[in-house]
Amino acid sequence: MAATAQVVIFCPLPPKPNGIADYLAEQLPCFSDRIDVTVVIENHAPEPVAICPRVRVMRLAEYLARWDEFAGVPHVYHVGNNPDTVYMLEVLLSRPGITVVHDLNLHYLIDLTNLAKGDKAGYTKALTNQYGVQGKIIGEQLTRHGWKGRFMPHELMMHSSIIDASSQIIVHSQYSAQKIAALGHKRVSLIPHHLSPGIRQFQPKLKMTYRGELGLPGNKVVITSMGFIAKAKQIKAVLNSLAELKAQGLDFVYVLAGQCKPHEYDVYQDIADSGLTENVVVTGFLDEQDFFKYLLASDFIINLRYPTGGESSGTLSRAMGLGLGCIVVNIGPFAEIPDECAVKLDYDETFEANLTASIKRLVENPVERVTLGLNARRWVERSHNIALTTKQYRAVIEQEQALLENRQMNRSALPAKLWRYMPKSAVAKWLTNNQNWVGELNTQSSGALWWLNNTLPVGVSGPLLLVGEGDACTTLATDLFGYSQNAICTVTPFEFESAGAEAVPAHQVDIALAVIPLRAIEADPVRYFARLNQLLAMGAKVSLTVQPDANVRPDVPVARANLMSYLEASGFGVDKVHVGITQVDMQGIYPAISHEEWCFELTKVSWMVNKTPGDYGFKGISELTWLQPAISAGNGRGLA
Amino acid sequence: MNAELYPACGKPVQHSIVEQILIQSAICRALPRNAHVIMDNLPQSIMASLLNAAGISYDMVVPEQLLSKYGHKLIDMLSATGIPFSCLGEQAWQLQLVPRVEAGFSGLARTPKIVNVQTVDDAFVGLRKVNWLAIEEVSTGFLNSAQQCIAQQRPLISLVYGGNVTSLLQWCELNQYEAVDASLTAVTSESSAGKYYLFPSSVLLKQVAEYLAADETAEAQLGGSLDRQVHKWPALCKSGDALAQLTSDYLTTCSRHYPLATMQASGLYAAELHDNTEWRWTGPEHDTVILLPMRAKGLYRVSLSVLALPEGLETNTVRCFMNGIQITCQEVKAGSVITFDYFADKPELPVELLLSVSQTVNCGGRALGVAISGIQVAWNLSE
Repeated sequence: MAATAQVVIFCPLPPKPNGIADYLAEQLPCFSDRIDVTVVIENHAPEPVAICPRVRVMRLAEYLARWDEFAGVPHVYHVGNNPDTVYMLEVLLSRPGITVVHDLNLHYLIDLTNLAKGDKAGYTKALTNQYGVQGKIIGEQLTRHGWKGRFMPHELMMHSSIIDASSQIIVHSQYSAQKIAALGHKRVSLIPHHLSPGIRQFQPKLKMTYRGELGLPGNKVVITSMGFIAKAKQIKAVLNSLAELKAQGLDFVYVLAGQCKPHEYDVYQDIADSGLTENVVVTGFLDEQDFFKYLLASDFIINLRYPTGGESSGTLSRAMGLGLGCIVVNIGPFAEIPDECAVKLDYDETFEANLTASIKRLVENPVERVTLGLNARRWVERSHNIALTTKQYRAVIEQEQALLENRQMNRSALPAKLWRYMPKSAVAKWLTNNQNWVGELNTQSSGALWWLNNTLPVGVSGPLLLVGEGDACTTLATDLFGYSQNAICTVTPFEFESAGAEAVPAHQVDIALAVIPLRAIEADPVRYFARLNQLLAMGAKVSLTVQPDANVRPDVPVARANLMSYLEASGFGVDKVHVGITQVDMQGIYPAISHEEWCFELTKVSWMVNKTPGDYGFKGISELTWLQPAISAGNGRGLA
Repeated sequence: MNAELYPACGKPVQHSIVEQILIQSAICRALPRNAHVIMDNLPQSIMASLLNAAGISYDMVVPEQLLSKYGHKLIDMLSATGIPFSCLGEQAWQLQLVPRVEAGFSGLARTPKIVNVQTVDDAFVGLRKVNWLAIEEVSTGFLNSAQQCIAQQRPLISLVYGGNVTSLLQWCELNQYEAVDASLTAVTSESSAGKYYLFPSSVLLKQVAEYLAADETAEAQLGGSLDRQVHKWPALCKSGDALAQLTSDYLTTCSRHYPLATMQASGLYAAELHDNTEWRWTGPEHDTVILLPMRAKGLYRVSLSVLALPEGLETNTVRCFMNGIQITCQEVKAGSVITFDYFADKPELPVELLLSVSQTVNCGGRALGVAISGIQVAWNLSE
């Protein structure tokens, strides 16, 4: 049958030493018989090997040069918390698609785009994007004082921009699905990590042959931990347990089957300290063949992760598929393994004691470890079958194709946005030509600083959200700034918070103009600004004019500096503040302004709102809320 | 074999860059010595080199398209070589280049850059005499926005016109300009879209035509020799001045070496010099972008000399992309020359050469890829 559907997949490919690359390479033969697949890889990636011949491989530069050609094709992005997936970020954030979240916490991935390059200010902005004004504070602590808690990369999730940009999400565990659903994404599919078809060529019966090939003893229990040797794998805890068991007279070999990360964790020091130099083998990076041989040469596996970034372990699926018993930490996706298929240890004060006891039990009791392995294999074969998981992928891609038909994909992947403003002289020229109209203008209702200071970008496609009273604002937006009457969606300031869906634009807007009396926000400014935030696309520009008056009876302080802090607490960056006209009125053409007003030029930078900023008087209490879009975002969030 | 360079008769035709060298050299010679030129070309371009040789001053402007394509990267490339950033347009605007805010983009904290797009009239009338306005890809709308400059200063205009030629001819008639192509053939309504020269007076056109008068006997006497080019255009090549020398060099060598230190590039460290050898390391990223001014349609041969690899590396793999298309992938070592052919068919914008090296090595705090010591572009490959 000829392939009809198309898909573009961003993912590293073998020989890149990356689990995600192996994952896709295994999946491609099942995909490409029905879908025309293009895989986009890094420009400098090595020439892919052993890839299904029906698949077209393209490098990022060529994809970008052919950007428009792929606008109508569903995209799949395989994102992991490692340097090999950095190259796809700018495309992912610009062109919504299906994101396969292999690691839930992408802090390190985001860190690679800024902090790893020495860009502390960029890291602060990234934290602000995820956590709003609180993120800014954390970032500034690092910039100013060098404070960065060791917990930060693990405990502070950094994935919201990626989740928010995605039209659909695929995860491998219920744990990740729930975490993402909590961010308001409505299109999350749970597809288990498939069992590698490659395991068929290896026979568990040949355990002793493999041990011979690998130089492992045939008469000792072989225990293995797989993958990168990182601190979070709790290798030190395992070494402590093994040292204790060795002292009790147990004999074993412990294999660390993976690449060291010496800059992060010096495993050799811990091996020496534990007195296990003669019992431990560190293999370094392994190709797939050797990797499977080490697995099959093992009696059981220890696969600990604490803390967890919510990642699923492909190597664990393989080990279980080969019928190996495993010890895991009862956390995140690992907690979803049925109890009879693995030894699951709670990470609490009893962890180390329980770890020692569990290892001892499995070393001493071959029947128990074989039973555990058999249960694991049955479970993985049943639920992680690649034919089944690929079918689920195809369904998600079909759904994406349908979604694409109603979506505009016109953003470039440039890490900057070009806003167009009128030249400085244009306002003065317009004033000269419209003196009669301006002479009768009530600037109290129209506001003055926003247009006299040229704060509204022009030529923005899509609707302009206008929060203001009277027709003068509309006239200025059309006649001076060139917006068409039909593009303007007007809501009055006092009805803005309660306005229903029929009164606001149907899709998130890139541009908003608000001219409001201070009375409109006197009860709870953050609530008001958060409502504005909910209607805007990320990065949207806002020109906000606030007019104080004598009748205002605020519940919280509302001086100009307070408003700036409320705006930041509401997910906005304050770019500029105008309190007067910046142009010199040489010809006497500017209208007389008898009232005070403050004009803020804003950019929406976050969905995170602090409902109780410090200026509200609740010192030390921050009530953070991840806003849900009030209207369709064109992605999986904010759906009706 | 490329059909455009080898037509049915089998005789190679002249590369269109030769026509451009000749007419640009002739114009440089015909303009007054205190002339001033506005061009949207790179400082490495042949046109800029000819102007330098003629002692003519010029201002460079940047096409807005390039800013939309490269963003801050373009601003960095220009500022690294000390070129002020200015854009010309049909209408005046203020552009604000603002970093995206989503975590995952690079340069989140970059300072927004404000770029003023000006009309020719706003930018130059009353401030600067303009003798030659050399802007690629413009519309009659752009020309109309330069009405004051055109009426008062009567500059020569060169452009690549993609629209309806009839409307261009109407504009010329209205403004008393004469439109010719690079071989000085008058443009008619039958002419296809292409590169044109709009002359403000028949005197200047006549003068350029005189410089371009070919000595046909030279061709007969010297046959296929490259020297024949020099003898064929004695007025351009034999005057004994710097402009003649440069014109002659271009015509005889059919190639040019780009000055490494001032190339518009990102992902290249600053130039280093030792014993008359100059080089630049690629890095710190794996990808390096170099803009090459190939603004004449035709086949080129690009050569990159690899001077060295970082200590500890015997070889490195370099992939070369031209405007996004991978042209070659070579395993290089110190002393290698990466050579490939490229057919330029969109002369409106500079060509983007992207070098992607597979390995970088940290040397003294710098991640280095390969050291490039020369970039050469050659044309008329059949000769």
